[in-house]
Amino acid sequence: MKRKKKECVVVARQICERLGEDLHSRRCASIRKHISECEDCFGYLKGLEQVISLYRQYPVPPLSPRALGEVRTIIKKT
Amino acid sequence: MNRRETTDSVAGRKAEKELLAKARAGDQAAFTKLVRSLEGVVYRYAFKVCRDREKAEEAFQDTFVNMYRKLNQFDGRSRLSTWLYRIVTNHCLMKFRSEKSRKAHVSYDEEMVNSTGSSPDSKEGRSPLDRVMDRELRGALDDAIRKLPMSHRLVFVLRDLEGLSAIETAKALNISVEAAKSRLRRARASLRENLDPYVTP
Repeated sequence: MKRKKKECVVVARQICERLGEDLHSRRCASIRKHISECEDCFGYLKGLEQVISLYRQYPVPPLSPRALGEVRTIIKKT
Repeated sequence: MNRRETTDSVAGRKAEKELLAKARAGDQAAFTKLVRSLEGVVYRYAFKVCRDREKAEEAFQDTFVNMYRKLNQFDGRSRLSTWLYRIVTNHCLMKFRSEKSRKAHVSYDEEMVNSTGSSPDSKEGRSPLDRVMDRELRGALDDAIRKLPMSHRLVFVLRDLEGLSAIETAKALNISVEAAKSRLRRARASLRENLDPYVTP
């Protein structure tokens, strides 16, 4: 989405604000209609969903037994 | 939310309240059960915010020690996890502010190799983590989220990664729901823009 039309800028903002909340509600019908007809905005929405999905897939290293053991030791001493 | 989830949630809250009451009365076993039920939530949240294992473990330790010491201050109006999110957040913010000028960063791969004893696969030159997610992509994700103001990063992690509602996020961060929504919008827009080369059209 290099040169955004004014309407696309508004829709992109709405996507960022409403994704996961009420983007599928009746009051967002006009935004969804625009997305279904605009390749750029459709791509923007799909891209944002991918970004969130990538962060969810990012592997979290395991908690070390040492860290857990230290908490228990501190608590026992408290 | 379906009826099954509602029932589970109510049962979970009841069990949590019972454990809390026992822990407040000095029951160590009850406190240990509470820690066990929440240790994963606390550590994962700390890691997603700090993007660093050592810092996340420090936040984890600090959070449960604070929880133990301040258990009587918890008013019980929210889930215990919401209160813990706030303790982790405060710890991370304090650390972030004190280390803001420090640029040194131990790479995630080095930490993983050191902590797990695993080494790069000599045949392919790829570490076990590379097989989970490409190293370059992880670096891009780290860079993009580090570019966010910490206040925006916290909202993004709680809302989009931890799955909290706007109201729960606002409670955990002690901000208004409107502020939480506004920060989430800005965080998403920034991440979407910075990671544009990594998403497929």
